Amino acid sequence: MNHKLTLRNVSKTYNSEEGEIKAVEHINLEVKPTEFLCIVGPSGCGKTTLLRMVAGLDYPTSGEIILDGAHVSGPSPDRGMVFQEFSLFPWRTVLKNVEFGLEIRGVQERRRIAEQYLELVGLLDFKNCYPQELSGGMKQRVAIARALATNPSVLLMDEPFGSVDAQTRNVLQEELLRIWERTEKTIMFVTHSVDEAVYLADRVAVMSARPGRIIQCMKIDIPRPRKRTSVETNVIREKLLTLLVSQYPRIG
Amino acid sequence: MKLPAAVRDKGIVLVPLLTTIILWEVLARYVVKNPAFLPRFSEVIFAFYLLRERIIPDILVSLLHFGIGLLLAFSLALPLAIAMGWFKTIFRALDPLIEILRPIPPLAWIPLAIVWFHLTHYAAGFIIFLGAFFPILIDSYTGFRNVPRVLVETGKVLGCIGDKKLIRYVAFPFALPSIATGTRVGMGVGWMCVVAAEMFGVSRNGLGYRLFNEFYYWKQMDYVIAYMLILGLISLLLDRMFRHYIEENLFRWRKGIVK
Repeated sequence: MNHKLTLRNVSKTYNSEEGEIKAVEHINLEVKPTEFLCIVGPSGCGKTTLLRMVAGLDYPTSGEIILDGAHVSGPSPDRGMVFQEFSLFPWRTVLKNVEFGLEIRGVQERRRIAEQYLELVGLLDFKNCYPQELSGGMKQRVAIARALATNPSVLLMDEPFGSVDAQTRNVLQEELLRIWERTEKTIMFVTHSVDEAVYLADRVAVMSARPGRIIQCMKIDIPRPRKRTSVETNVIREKLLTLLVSQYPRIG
Repeated sequence: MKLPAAVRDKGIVLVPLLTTIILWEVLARYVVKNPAFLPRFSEVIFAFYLLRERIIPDILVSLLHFGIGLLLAFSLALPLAIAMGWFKTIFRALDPLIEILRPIPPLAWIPLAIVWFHLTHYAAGFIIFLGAFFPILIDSYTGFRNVPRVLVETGKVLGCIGDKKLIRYVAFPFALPSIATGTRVGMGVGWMCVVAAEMFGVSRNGLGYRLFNEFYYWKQMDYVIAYMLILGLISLLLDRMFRHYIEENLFRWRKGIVK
C-alpha cells in the first residue's frame, strides 16, 4: 500500500434545527507520501469540514480515514494543522509558540528544535517577540513552524493565507513550496482560490457544492518553479474555473 | 513663562487636589464654623498626629480581616470560575444560584456572620469575602468562556488531550488577564466592606471598628475623616501595588495593546 492518507467513503451529516444537513458525501481520496494536494470548492461545500475530520476535530458520520495504516480518531500531533484565523497563543513568545507541541510532550531539546523550524521559516530573529508585534504573514509563518515542530506525518492547511494581502500571499506560497521541498511533508491544503491551487499543488481535488463530493481530481504536471501567468497555468486554471462555476447556482 | 512638560503633567494632578483642600478649609473655617458638622482640613491633619499611635494597629487588624476575606474569596472563586467557564453544563446549573445570591448586600449577611462565626475575625473576613467573591468569580469565568475556539483547537492538534491539559495550557493563560481584573475589582469591593465588617464589633481594633464605634460615638468628626482618608489611601496603595505586580510579571505580552 503506497498511500499516506486514505479517505474511504467519508460522509458527514450535521444535525441542526432545520433537520439534518449533509456537509460532505462519499468522499474517496488517496494522498501519496510527500504529495501536495489542494482541495478547492465553492464556499460552504464542506472542504474545511473534510480537513477538520482528517485533523480529528470533527468526526465522520460514516466512512473511515486512515493515516499511516491507522484509523484517525481524534486530534493528535501526527497531523499538524494551520488555521485560517491567526491562532498563535498571544501570551507566548514566538519561540514559546513553536515549542508548544514539544512542551506538551515533554521533549527536552524543544528549544533547539523550535529554533531550527523558526530558521526554516526565516523568523529566528523574531523568536523573542510576542505575536501582536508580528504582521499577518509573519504570524502564519510562525504557525507553520509550530505545526511542523512536532514532526507531523501530514500537514493540514485550512486557507492559511486567506487573511493576508495579495502580495504577502504570493510570497508565502513560494515560502511554503520551499519548506515543503526541504521537509518532504505530505500536505493537504484547502483553498477557495484556483490560482493558489494551481500554483502550489501536485494534484487538485475539486469539490461540488453542498453536499460536497469530489467531482474531479486533476494532476498538475507543470514543473516548478511555476510561472503564475504562463499559458499552461492558464489552461489549467480555465478548466478548474469552468468546473467550479458549474457548481454555483445560477442567479437572476 | 512656560513650565517644563514634566512639571505641567505632574502639576495637573495637584490642581484639583489643592483646590479641594483650600475650598474645604475655607468652607469649614468661615461658613460652617462647626467642627461637629464639618471639621477643617487642618484639624484633620492634626488628628493624624493625635492618632499616630493607634493608626498602625488598626490598619493591621483591618488588613487581617481583608486578608482572610480575600484569600477565601480567591481560593473559592477561581476553581468555581474554571468549572463554570469551561463546562457549559456546570455554568447552566450554577448561574441562577449565583445570580440570586450576588445582589444581596454583604451588610445583610451580618446577622448570619455573627451566628455562624460569633464575634471573631472570621466573621469580619466573611463579610469581606462576600464583597470580593462575586467580582472575582464573574470576571474569571468570563475569561474562561471567551477562549477563542481556534486556540482550543490549536491546543488539541498540538497534543493537549483532555480538559486538564487544555485548561492548563490554553484556557488558564488566556483567562489570566480577566482573573487579574476580577481580583482587582474584588479587592476594591472587599476593602469597601471593611467598615461594615468591623462595625458590629468583632474586635476592639480595626479601622472600621474605631471609626464607627468610637469616633462616631463620641462625635469626633475630625478623627472620622482622618480614618476615612486612611481607608481610601490604603485601597489606592493596594490597587497600585497589585497593578504594578501583574503588569510587570504577568502581562508583558500585552504591553502596547492595553491603553
